[in-house]
Order: sequence, then C-alpha cells, then structure tokens
Amino acid sequence: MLSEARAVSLREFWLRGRGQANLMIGLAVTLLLIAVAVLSLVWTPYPINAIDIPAKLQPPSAAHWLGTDQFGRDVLSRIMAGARNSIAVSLVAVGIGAGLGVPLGALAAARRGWVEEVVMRFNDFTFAFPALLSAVMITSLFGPGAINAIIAIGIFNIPVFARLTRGAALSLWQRDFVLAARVAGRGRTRITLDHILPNIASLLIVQMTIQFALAILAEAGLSYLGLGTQPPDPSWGKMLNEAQTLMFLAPQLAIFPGLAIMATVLGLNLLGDGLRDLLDPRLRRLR
Amino acid sequence: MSAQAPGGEMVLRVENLVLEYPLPRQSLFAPAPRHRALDGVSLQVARGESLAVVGESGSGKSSLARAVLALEQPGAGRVELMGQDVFALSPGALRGLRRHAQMVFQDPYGSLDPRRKVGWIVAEPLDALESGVGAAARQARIAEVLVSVGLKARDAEKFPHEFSGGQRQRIAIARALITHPALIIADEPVSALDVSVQAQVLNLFMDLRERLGLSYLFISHDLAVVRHVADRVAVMRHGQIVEEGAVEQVFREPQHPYTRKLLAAVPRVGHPRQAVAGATTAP
Repeated sequence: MLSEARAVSLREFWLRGRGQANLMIGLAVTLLLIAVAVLSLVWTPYPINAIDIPAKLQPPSAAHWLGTDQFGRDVLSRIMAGARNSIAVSLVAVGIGAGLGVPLGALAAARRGWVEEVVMRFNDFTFAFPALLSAVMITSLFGPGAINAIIAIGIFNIPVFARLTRGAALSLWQRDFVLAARVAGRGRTRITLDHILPNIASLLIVQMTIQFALAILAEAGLSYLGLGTQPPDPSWGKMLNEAQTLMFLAPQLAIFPGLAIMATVLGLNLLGDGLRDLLDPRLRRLR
Repeated sequence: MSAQAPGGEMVLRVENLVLEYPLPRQSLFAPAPRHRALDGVSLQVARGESLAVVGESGSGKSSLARAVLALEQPGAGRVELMGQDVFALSPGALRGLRRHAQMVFQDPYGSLDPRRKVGWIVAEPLDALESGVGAAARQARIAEVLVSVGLKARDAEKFPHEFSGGQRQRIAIARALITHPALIIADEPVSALDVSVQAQVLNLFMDLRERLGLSYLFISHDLAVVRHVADRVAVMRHGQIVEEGAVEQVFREPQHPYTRKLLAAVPRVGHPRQAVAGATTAP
C-alpha cells in the first residue's frame, strides 16, 4: 500500500517538476556532484596524494586538466576526492541535525507545556551563538579534524530542524484530521508517526537540501581555517587555504576549488527552491 | 422521528460542565484572563435520540463537542458516556469507551489526512480501538461502512483529494461508523457543503439513524438543518443553554428572547423540510 502511494507521487513529481528550470538545473548539478564523488572512489586521473615536485604549479594542460598544486598533485583528482569529503561531512552533519532536531521538535509540539519550554529554550541557547564561532570553539576544545567538524556543524543543525518541525507540527495538531485521530483513540506518538511526520516530510526535505548546502560551506570554512579535514586528505576548504599564499603565482589553485564550492552550493540551493515550489501545499491545492 | 422514551437509557449525560480557555496575558503581574466557553452546561441524549445544539459562532457549541469527547479537560462538571464518567477513567478505559462515541467534523477537506488512502482513514478507529480484527475482517468492515454511506468498496484504494466535498463527508461519516458507535457527535457536518449536497448528507444522517438506531448530538447554527434532523433542540448562548425542548415546540413557541431573535434572523425557516426532502440521495 505504502509503495503504491510512493510510486504515484514519484511519477507526479516528475510530471510536475520537469518544467521547472531551477529544479532541473539543481538536480543536474547535485547528481553530477554525487556521480563525481562516487567515481572518485574507484578512479581519479592521478592518485590523490601522489607528489610530483618537478610538475608543481602547472597551469591547466592536457595531462593535468585543472593544473597541479605546489607539490605537483593533480588538482582535478583532489577536487573529485574533495567532493566525496564534502558530501560525507554534510550528510552526517545534516543527519545529526535532522535526526535529533526533528524528534525534539515533534516532541515539543506533541507534549506542549514544560517539555516544549525546555526544548525551545535549549534551541534558543544554541541559536544564540554564531554557528561558525561555536564550531571553532568545539574544534579548539576537542582538536581539529573531520569528525569534530562534523559534530560541530551537526549540533548547529539541531535547532534549525527542531524549530521547523515544531512550528509545522503545531499547526497540524490543530487540524481536524488529527482531532479525528484523537477521537479514534490514537496516542500522541502514533499520531506523530502516522499523521504529523508524513505531512511535514516535504518541508523537511526542502530544509535538508538547504542545510546540506550550508554544511558544505561550513566544512569548507572550517577546513580553510585549518580546523576541519587535516592534510593530506583533500578538502575544498583546505585547498583554498593552501592556494592563498600562491594566489598570484597560480590563481587556478584558488579558482577551481572555489568554483566547485560555488557550483555545489548553488546547485543545492536551486534544488531546494525547486522542491519548495513543487511541494508547496498552496500549489498542491490547485490540482 | 420518535419522541424520547421517558426514563430511556441515556447514552450521554452532561452535568454542569464548565470549560475555560486561558487568554493572552495582559500584564506581567496579573494572572492571565480566562474565557469561559462553557458555563454550567447540562444536557442528555437518550438512545436513538437526536439532540441539536444551536447558537451563533462563539456560543460554545464546538467546545461542548470537544469536552464531551474528552479532547478538552473541563474545569468542572461531569460527562457520562454510556453511564461512565469519562474524566474519571484511566486512559485505557477511556480508549475502550471511545468506540461508542465518534465524531464527524465540519470541514471535510480538513478532517481527512491528505496523505492516507480512504481505506486507512476509515479503518483508523477500528485499528486503534478494536484489537484482534483479522485482515480479511478488517477489509470487510471497511467495505461495509463505505457501502452503507453510499460509496463503493473500491473507493478504499483512493486518496481523499479524488473526492468531492459531499463524498468526503461520507468518508468521514464512514470513519465514525466503523466501530458501531451508539452516539455520533456531528459538529456542523453540512455547513461547509453546497446546499444541494447538504440535503443528501442530511438524508444520509437520517437514514443511518433509522437503520442503526444511532443517537446524535448535532451541532449547528442552521435552524433549517436542526429542524430536519433533531427531536429536541438546545439553544446555546455565551456558554449556557438558554432554552431546551422538543423541536416543534421550540420553533412554534420560543420562550427565550434569544431563541426568538435566532428564529427571526433566519429567512423562510418555515419551509425547510420540503426543500430538503425534495433532493435525491445520489452523490
């Protein structure tokens, strides 16, 4: 029964979505990013950490499409592997944020009273710190590294999802179909699972794509500051950092990772906007 | 319409019910003001009887429906369903009691979860309130109630957005019927529908009552509707019942000035029955 419902909505999704330019561009860029990351697991033009000093700081050429860095490492190979790194960090960070934030927000909306107060004040507390500064604090306390960067970014995704979930769930709890479920004797947990979460799923998916873009930026920022991924592992932020001192000597070292970050974030934002347009309940009503 | 049998079994008895909602605080140092939605309401519904509660919006009708089904916790008073005090019961016992009283809501577009198929929606009270119903029996019960409200058994596989307003309200009625309740609480069940569809749904209510011996607590602001479906009517104003009696009597000789005002405010309230009876039941 469930799979049938999903099949219908997927088909409908495609029929309604294919006419939207931003959705399709965003989807294409995102799929390309994923494809590149997956490809880098099995193949890159050169080994990602292979040092070739005689070939250092080369401009783009037929042998090295995007040139080489100060150690002669192939920039294209490192950008491909960096995509993998960015995806992994963002996926886990958004996973932490949604995995903890959504249940907290749903709990606050279902229980109200002091539970809601505690959850939301905790949220306010987390929100009160600038995210990147707090990530700096966390990584300086627990040491730099990809894992700590993931945790730091993840923590700051929790209140985003908790607030969104609570707000949307609160309005749903007032709806008659939830009242009907209460009259039918359903408890709060069952109502949350059966009625609330399925009805806010599209909202959460849109938010996830946007948070995903922000997480990629945050990871690049932390790595740029030397607090994220550690050398010699490739990371777009780290590549920007290393390119900094060679800006005038080999500008391509900054340009290509910068373009990769920009294209990825733009693609994810377009995807998020497109999904929002597609899943907006007010547009859905027009059917 | 049979008159209430004196001393007949009461499916619902409400005594001195008081329900207050807190309002936004005006000052940091004063307690939040409270709005009294129900101010000492008492009424009863006998088995097979249909009691209508009328009044303007804001008179407390919907609060009454919610309090009766224990969706709101009243400040004072008692609600007895099938002779049991609903606010004295444990959550488990209250769940057992819910089988006997179900509700039909005003807006058929808001009362059905858009993400669930009709069969799932209709079976929700069954799944929640009756344990040990086998898959085949469950399917049969879904088909049975859908047919009994004038839909088709295969409509169970569709989503709510595939139906019109009147059909959606039939789905909502089917959901209310699936546990074979004694009492249906209907909160303005036709006011969101087109006039022609209103007549069909009202006739369905009347037909079901006759076939299944249901009792209704029928909440409405529309006196023409009330006259068609109810044996007795209670007039509510500012959270209090100002007048109660047999429908014909209240309509013929309203005692309270507010009732007279309500009756005077409705154009052509004398001829609603023909208008309703003339419509067909086909959806």
